[in-house]
Amino acid sequence: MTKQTSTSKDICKTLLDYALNEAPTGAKARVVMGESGKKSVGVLNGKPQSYDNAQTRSVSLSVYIGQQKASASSEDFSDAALKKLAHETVLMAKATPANKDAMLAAKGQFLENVEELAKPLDLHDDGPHPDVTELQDMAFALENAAKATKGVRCKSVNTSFNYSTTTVLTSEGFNAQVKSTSFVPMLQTIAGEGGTQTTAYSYRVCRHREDLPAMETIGKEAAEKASAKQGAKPVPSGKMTILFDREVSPDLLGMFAGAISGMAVDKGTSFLKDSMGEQVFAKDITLTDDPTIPRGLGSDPCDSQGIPTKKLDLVKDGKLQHWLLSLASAKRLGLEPNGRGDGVTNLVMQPGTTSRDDLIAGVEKGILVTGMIGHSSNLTTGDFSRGAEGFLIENGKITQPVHEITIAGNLKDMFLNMTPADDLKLDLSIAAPTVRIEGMTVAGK
Amino acid sequence: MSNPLEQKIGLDAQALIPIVGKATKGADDGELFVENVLSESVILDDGEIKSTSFNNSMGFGLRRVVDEFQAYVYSNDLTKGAIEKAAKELSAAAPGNGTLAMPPVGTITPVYPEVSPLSADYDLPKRIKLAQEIDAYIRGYDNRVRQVQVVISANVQDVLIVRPDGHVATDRRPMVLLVISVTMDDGTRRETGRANYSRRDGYKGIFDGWKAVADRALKQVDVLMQSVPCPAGEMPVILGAGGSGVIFHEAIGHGLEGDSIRTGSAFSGMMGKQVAAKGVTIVDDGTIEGSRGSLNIDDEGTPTENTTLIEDGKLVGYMNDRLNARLHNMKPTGNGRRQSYRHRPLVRMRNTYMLNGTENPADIIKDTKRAIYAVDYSGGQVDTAAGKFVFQATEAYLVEDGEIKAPVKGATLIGSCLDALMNIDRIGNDMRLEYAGGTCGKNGQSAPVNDGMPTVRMTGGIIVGGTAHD
Repeated sequence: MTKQTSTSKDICKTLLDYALNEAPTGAKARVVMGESGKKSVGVLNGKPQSYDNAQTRSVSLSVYIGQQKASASSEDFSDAALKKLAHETVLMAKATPANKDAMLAAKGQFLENVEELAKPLDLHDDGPHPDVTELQDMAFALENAAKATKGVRCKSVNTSFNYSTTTVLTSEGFNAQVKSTSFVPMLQTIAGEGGTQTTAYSYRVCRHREDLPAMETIGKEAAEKASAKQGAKPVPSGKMTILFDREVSPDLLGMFAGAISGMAVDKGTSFLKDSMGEQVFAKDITLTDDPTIPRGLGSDPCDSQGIPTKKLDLVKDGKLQHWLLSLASAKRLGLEPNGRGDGVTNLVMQPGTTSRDDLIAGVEKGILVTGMIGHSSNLTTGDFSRGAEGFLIENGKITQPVHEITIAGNLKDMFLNMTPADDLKLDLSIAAPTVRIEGMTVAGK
Repeated sequence: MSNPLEQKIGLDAQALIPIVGKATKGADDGELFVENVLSESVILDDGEIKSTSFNNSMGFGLRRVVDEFQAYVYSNDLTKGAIEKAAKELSAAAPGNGTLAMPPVGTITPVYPEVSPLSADYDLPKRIKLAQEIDAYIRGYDNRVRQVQVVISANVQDVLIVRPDGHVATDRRPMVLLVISVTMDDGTRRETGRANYSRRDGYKGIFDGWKAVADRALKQVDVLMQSVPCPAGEMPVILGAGGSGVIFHEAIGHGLEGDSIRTGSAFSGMMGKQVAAKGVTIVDDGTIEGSRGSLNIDDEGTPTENTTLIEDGKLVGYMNDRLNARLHNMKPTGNGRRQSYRHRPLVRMRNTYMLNGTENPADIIKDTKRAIYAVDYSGGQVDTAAGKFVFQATEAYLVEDGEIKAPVKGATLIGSCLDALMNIDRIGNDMRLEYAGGTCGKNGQSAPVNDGMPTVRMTGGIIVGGTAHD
């Protein structure tokens, strides 16, 4: 392990030196090296389907000559290749016109001692890597648990273990190395036969082995989801109340995160560009972005430029408080960078006080959406239109599964008309409870 | 060592055969895949060149296949030692007493030039100048333009495939891509439109033809600026010629990939059955000169072909890689593709399109009382087992009483794979497969593809996901 570590730092240092030697005096440079490995196993129908084992690494270099910048990356680590990479990147930077976003964090701006600060985040499981047998046993347990539900089989079952080390070094003195691991069990299930098949999937991503729930829980969950969809049909079109289950509500937060990107705001390509300080969500909603959660999937002491992150309430009492700012977008907007150059870290919508059942009970006619398909939402206008499936709610009760419908609205109105339930679960880097939104358009037949 | 990949490893392909033989001893199939991709791009955004970059990716993947089990080891350490180590690991991965499947057969007719687009003819200063010229053209065209983004990129992928039976295949695959997006604002509303051009060839097509791409992006955003809310509900849909082919990619294509058929597609067991209206013939073709989805050989070394999937509405073929072909007792169709050496082959589409009918497209519109006429798309998605697909229209119009009326806002359209194509009642004679295309994602792997079709009317089976509901 120690040897590996010194190797990637050495490569970064060598490449940085080559670049600075090639470039005119005063030039700056940044080197990022990623080393990653993966072990993955697939099973199906009680038989092993696949085994993957990989180790890869790549290095990238950015050269800044004043405001002129160019980047290159390579998977060839021979000395000759690194020299060539430095030489060509410098030539490219010289040929590239100046641009106002080309900047590198200066001493005082970037975080020192990143490795120490990353330790309490506990992103790396120091235990032994799982072997094939362990991964395969996990996968069989997933499949067996799923098949225990009547009429359910699996379409795919996979377990994987990933490990990576990212090293960053800049001419300004920023240097960081962060290691992380993840364990990922996942399966796709099918209930029913032929033209009436319904599908579902479940997965988890955990930094540490000990945080994985029992495989039986995940397998059973995926099976029950597919099974509950049996007999689904479209419903007639109309204006309805929509509940987004906590499996799909994080998608809405993801779109929000895209719309408050400082760069999109400055360029005017976000529907929230004029909304700073304004009411953008219903007034009891708070969205917190917290990079300090131990073992969090988005936890990080700093962004990739080295700007320190800290916990921010992006939205408080429904009012927008912060853009996501990189060094460059902060400068454009005349603000201080907030360590969000790579976007949100762990974004959470704080839970409300009403239970999900009570939210459902208050709906005369609506849909509980548990799955969405397609990617059509327009962050310039906020227009939202997606394929959906879930359950019909009539007079406060879930009455039948629904599929082959679309739901549409505008994100601006959707955020303002949102009521969160109290069922928040913190398992992915973007998390939200079930939310209820009034007045969306459902298209069906 | 004439091949650049042999030079990188420092060995002839012939010398690699025994190592692959060791990895696949007792197996039913397997191969060594070696790859080097050189890529470069220029990105203009917000009036400035935001990024110039160059990337060099290389590595190998060694695979052992026993029955339906696949073991795969990959690395970017392109040395004999690393390949030998991988072979040793694989030989222990799964015992087998199999007989090696026959090597790929068929003839290769090259469908793209064996050159790298990354040539000095169009050096960095020329590409930067072109991006700036495109920016100036678009901003000069319409004073409502607020933002322009231009991406000019190219790559060349060299692959070397070595099989244990001594079969060695190589391919050099060029690709260029131009993407233009335009944001307009007239003080009251703001919209973004997008168009692309892609081809397996050099940069010349981009330098000669960028104006048409810019005009398409401008037209799309101009139409969106005038768009009214899109209707909601089931209604007839007229699919415009060309890019509408994404509907076949989603509704039919993915469900006819051999792996999907095997693990549970809505089309499993439907061979020979009527799955689309009469007159509908759909193919997946790897052999169209220069097209984004074309390949001389797939990533298992099988020469590509033109595979008929639906003939006159009947299901007549699946797409297969070697593993799924063997398990289905069919022949490989040259659809075994991988994103890179980091990925095992998967069954993937190439250029998927519907063949011409006989009608004048203008007549189809003229004879339609009320429909959505969709002409441009941002993509789609499918759940092959549940048999539900969506596609996203970014340029669409309302048709009323035989005339194209107001443009409508972008919307998601959803349908059922098994019955949507049964509702086709009119087929135009204007089939188009443009030099454009998209990137298809499946199981975490992306692949360049292209789609095409003539103008087609569907009388039902598609739900339009707008906000306007009466």
